Amino acid sequence: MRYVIVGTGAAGATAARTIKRMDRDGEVVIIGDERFFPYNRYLLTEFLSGAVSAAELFHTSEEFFEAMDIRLRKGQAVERVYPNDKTIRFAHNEVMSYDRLLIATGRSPSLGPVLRPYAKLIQRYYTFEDILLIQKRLPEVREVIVSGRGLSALDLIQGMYRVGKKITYITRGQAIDVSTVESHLMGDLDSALAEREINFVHDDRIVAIECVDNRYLVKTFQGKELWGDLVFAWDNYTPNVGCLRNTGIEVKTGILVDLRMRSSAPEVYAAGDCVEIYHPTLKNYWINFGWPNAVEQGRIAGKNMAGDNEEYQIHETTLFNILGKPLEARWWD
Amino acid sequence: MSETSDALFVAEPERAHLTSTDVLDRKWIDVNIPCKAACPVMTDVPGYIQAILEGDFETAYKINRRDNVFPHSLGRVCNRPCEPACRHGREGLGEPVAICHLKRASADFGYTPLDLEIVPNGKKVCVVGAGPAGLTAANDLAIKGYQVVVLEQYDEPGGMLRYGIPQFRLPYDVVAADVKSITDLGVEIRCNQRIDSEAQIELLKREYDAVILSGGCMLPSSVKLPGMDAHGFYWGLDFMMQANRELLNDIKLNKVVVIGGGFTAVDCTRTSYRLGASEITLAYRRTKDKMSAGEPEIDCMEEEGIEMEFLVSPVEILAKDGKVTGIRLVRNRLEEGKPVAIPGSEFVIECDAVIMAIGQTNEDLPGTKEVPEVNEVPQKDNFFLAGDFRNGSGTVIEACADGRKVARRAHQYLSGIKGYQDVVHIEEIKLDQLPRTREDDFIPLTTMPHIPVSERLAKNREVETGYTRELAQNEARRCYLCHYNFQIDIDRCIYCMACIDAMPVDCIKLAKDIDVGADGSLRYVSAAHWEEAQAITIDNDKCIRCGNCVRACPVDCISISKYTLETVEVE
Ligand SMILES: Cc1cc2nc3c(=O)[nH]c(=O)nc-3n(C[C@H](O)[C@H](O)[C@H](O)COP(=O)(O)OP(=O)(O)OC[C@H]3O[C@@H](n4cnc5c(N)ncnc54)[C@H](O)[C@@H]3O)c2cc1C
Ligand SMILES: Cc1cc2nc3c(=O)[nH]c(=O)nc-3n(C[C@H](O)[C@H](O)[C@H](O)COP(=O)(O)OP(=O)(O)OC[C@H]3O[C@@H](n4cnc5c(N)ncnc54)[C@H](O)[C@@H]3O)c2cc1C
Ligand code: SF4
Ligand code: SF4
Repeated sequence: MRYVIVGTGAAGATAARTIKRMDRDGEVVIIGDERFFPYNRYLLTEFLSGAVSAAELFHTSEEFFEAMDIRLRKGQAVERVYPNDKTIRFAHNEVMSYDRLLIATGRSPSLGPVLRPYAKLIQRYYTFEDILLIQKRLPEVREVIVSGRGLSALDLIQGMYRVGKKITYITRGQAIDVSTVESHLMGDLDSALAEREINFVHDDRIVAIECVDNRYLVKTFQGKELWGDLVFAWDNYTPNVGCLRNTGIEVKTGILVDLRMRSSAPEVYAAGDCVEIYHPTLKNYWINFGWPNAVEQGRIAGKNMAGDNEEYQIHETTLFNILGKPLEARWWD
Repeated sequence: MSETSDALFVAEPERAHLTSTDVLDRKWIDVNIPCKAACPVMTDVPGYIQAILEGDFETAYKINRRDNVFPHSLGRVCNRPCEPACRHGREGLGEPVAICHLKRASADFGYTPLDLEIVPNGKKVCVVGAGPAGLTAANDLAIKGYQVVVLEQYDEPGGMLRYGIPQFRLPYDVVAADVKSITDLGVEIRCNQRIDSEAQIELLKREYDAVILSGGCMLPSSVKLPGMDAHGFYWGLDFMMQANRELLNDIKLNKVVVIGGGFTAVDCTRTSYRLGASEITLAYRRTKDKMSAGEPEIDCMEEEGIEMEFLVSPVEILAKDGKVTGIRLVRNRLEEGKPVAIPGSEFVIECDAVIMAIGQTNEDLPGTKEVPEVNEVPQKDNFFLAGDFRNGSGTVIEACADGRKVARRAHQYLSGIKGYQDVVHIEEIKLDQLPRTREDDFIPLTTMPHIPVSERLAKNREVETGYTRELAQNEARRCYLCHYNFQIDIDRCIYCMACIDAMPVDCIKLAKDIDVGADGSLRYVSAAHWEEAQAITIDNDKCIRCGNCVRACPVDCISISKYTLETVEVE
């Protein structure tokens, strides 16, 4: 049995481990487009500000994959899935067949049609590679502009604050934009932001960015002109589902899966930040977010791929509770 | 075979060429010019793109005017079935050519009044409904010498081009320009004439040699939900028609929910935005990739800050004191691709307006139900049906195609010709006529300039501003010009492999054998070594029309020919 896993994040790495524990003789291949060994993505901000070391950031190494007999293919992107032929094709055109496939491609900050033309002027904040780039640029940076929804904006603001940068935060709403799932987890953010002397631009959005003498001029819908040495901006976090386009596998924004983490195509599973699942308490579809959920979904997908039949239980308490600390504590203590 | 109308539009320079009615040649076009094959009216796409490339916008316009009648309008609002079919969009080759934007450029820079010699034939045709279907039929019949009168119930012609599609996508003067080029042919349009009684229709059938009814889909598809009588509820089509008549400029919109996923729904959201609504949500029962509105419109909608909810269906409209206060929706799951409500998943979005844009349907006009289909065209004696009225709500280009089909049948009926036949013109091309180089393959898609989002509140200001001539020519360079067929004459080939050394991509193949299917499809049985090669062939699917192979061939055995299609009458 050949299990192929696309994505070396929390969900993918956990699934690989789980499958190998249940099916010793199964062949497990895990593929990731990042150049690095799987790492703890949620610690990136801590790593950037020097609070954790590289050793703490990386949770796997070459020895780990050897010992587990898991084949890691890093730095290789999967371009397309062919569910009818049970094959995948890499960006470098290699074709690989699978018996069971897990899509655990996570999500990425995405730019809507307004920001898209300025993609080259925007610094992404999502991967270890991004952090390495930012580290290189930081000495020349005094002021940063942040515009984006969700908790990750807070994480980024906190990171920039810790490394001593002046921050302008642009939000479409009156207050920081967090989703309904997230909002009840937040303490009194506004005052926390105020304490950090953040320049808060509300009810506004970026409509244009220019690069002038190595600095960035940001123009807003309300007509403001703001300057910064780095611009972080995104409209949404979008599941990475490009390799499923036109495959017939049902996708809403994320890959639609049932509670056993099965997609609409036979033998194709999905887990982690790339999936969308109906959440009865929220009465809404819900795109997974958060490390513990990704781990849990990866574990269940792995088990079911190896022949078990377990259902994922959605509980809100697992949303962001990390390192034993509630989220507010982690970011705002 | 009779004189064709194609030559009336675009005078081709007199070059030696062959005319073929062989199915294999006809099939070659479908397989090798995918954009043309995907277009309901088979527009000569590479023909007009090459004209733009050469800076001849006028010829580009005339080709479009001939094939799709409304180049100004379609260059803006066509749903573009050609683009997903374009070879440039295939795996690994990048984005499709911006065929539609180039059509607009052909009209923006190449518009010229037509100067056709029309010989009157003494017969009269009446068209009811001045939408794209009716006007295409009118155009085609006028060119054939008929005296055509179009009766239209509203005060201006254009159908949904004028009253459905908003001006920020399609300004009225643009529609008017297309309509004028039809009336210039002598077509008479009489507005404010509604035909809806049996007596009127019978009278027309007697007064005219033929009557074509193309009344479109003027009624919103109805569903019954509680609360629809409240103030603040609109049917999508009514909302658009009123807004386009400037009748909604004073309404107060704040939070709006639009139900639907088609052109009308998207236009309703964007029109609400321009009418001052601050929170607009589009709610659609399936997923985004199933929306029938075009991708560019959906992109613009997103730019304008409109939120989207997918996999939801309306349950009830909530109202207080006769005014809409919200809408109750239910979430769907997909069962084998079909949306099915999830029990217990109802939720409410608060709003002060609900716009239901779930489709349009035709009016029940007398005598239209009994019209039988004769070879795919609804015809009863001299009475014909065309466009959305007959096919259900569709797209502009489908309406044009249907208008053309019905006009051809009406002409056949009235003139006694036997029918129509496709002929393929195959013209030999010299190397110096080839404009393409390998560099052209790497030109990125030329994006359409837009007015900035901050200026989108002006209700009727067109959002897409059009390519400049330079941008259009740059985009035209991307086209592979799929109408060129490269062939190796195997009898003369000396298997020197010079072409293989010169090829820029994997375009020339060694084959053990070539299977030709009955329908003209070719299958190459490839040879691994050149010793076992029985044939050497050019894969027109891969060919980028650079001409390197022709230049390299020492025995001059590679020929280039251009394939164009024409439909002619059989007498
Ligand atoms: C700065 C930061 C702070 C965070 N803080 C927290 C926190 O405090 N608490 C919390 O719960 N969560 C936090 N998160 C979120 C958490 O890290 C994610 O929810 C989690 O990593 C999701 O795991 P995943 O396996 O689903 O996806 P990912 O970790 O994103 O892994 C997916 C991998 O697949 C790769 N991939 C994508 N497409 C392809 C392809 N086609 N071919 C090959 N590889 C592909 C991606 O590059 C990526 O490496 C934070 C995230 C960030 C960025
Ligand atoms: C809001 C909206 C946006 C759209 N956007 C697009 C788009 O972007 N791209 C696209 O391809 N398609 C779009 N469509 C669809 C497209 O406009 C139609 O499919 C097309 O116009 C149909 O053409 P038609 O000639 O059959 O009918 P219509 O355009 O509907 O024309 C019918 C004409 O007949 C007249 N008429 C009807 N009954 C009578 C009568 N009894 N007596 C006299 N006259 C009568 C009507 O007044 C009308 O002028 C859109 C439709 C709507 C409603
Ligand atoms: S490359 Fe040009 S001719 Fe070929 S399919 Fe695309 S638009 Fe048509
Ligand atoms: S013109 Fe000849 S060399 Fe150039 S792409 Fe076509 S087949 Fe290949």
